[in-house]
Amino acid sequence: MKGYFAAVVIALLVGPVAGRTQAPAKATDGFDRLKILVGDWEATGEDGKPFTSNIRLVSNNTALQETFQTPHDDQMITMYSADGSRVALTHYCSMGNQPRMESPVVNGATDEFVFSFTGGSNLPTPDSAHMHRLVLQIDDADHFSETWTFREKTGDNKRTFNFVRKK
Amino acid sequence: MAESDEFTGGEMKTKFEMMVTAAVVLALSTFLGASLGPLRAQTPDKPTSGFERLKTLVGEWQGTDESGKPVMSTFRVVSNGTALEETFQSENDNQMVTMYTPDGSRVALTHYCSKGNQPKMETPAETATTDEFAFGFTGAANLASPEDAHLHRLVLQIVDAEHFTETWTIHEKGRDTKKTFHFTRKK
Repeated sequence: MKGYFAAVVIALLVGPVAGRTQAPAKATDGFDRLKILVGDWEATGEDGKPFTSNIRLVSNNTALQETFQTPHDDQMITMYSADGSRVALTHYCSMGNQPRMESPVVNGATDEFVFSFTGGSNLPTPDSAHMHRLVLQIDDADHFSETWTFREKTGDNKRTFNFVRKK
Repeated sequence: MAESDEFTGGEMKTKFEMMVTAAVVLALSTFLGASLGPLRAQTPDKPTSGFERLKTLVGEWQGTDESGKPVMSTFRVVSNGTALEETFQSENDNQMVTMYTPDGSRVALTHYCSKGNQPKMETPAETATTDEFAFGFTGAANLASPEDAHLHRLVLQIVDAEHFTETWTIHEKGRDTKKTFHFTRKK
């Protein structure tokens, strides 16, 4: 009888927690931390032109899809997913190549995700122009930035985009 | 010259109606031309490569799995037309994404599986007339062991403009299982 009551008490305690598994109050790993970016964002380019980003959960919440819209990039996609305790991304560049990058081991409290190049497809040579690095910085629930490093034969160029959550 | 001055009321009305009709036709053709122009530009008459051939799948599809349960799939062109995104919806898979891209004359895909791994596959060299795209496994992310359950092969068969099939091979602990989905374009 004692065992039965213990089971009921455990079920009552654990049940509500289990029900919250899809929306954890606290990120449990680096990929979960990135999920707080889900939503619509806007930013201004260095040329003063506005553009937007939408981040949404896909594939039963196992991947994040970022869709970037600018006057030059129509529906440019970046996919983020967990790779063990690292976070991996593939950038489906509007230039037509697909660089892949990965962060080091990250955790639920990480604010700065540094993605380094691990390979790419449709890239004739390693010197062909491509995105080579991304530093994604979460400032708070309504602000984050992306600093992309663009690599080509003449060297590396960085561009930073500061995003504000759309209200 | 005199004829125009001697038009009766009926003739005048007929000429007026003709002018109005011509103006309406001109306005409509201008409007339709402007409206359809971008659509035509996005759907080229003839594909020029294997990847372009796959783009003929852009649109919304409904299908069934082998047990007869309904599934849905949406294809859209993204990243300035350089990638094709398939979003699959079933009872068990919520917004499961597969991304298709050209890799030279081959077509590559990454399947963002709802199981949480991301297998990558690639076809041999394809052409604009290819109807069967056989994607072979080239690697995966978030797969602890090669024997963990994952999608390992896809054969995508374009039957005609309104029908296609996908046969996925699931690999797990040395065993392969196939699942075929038949899709029909939504009207």
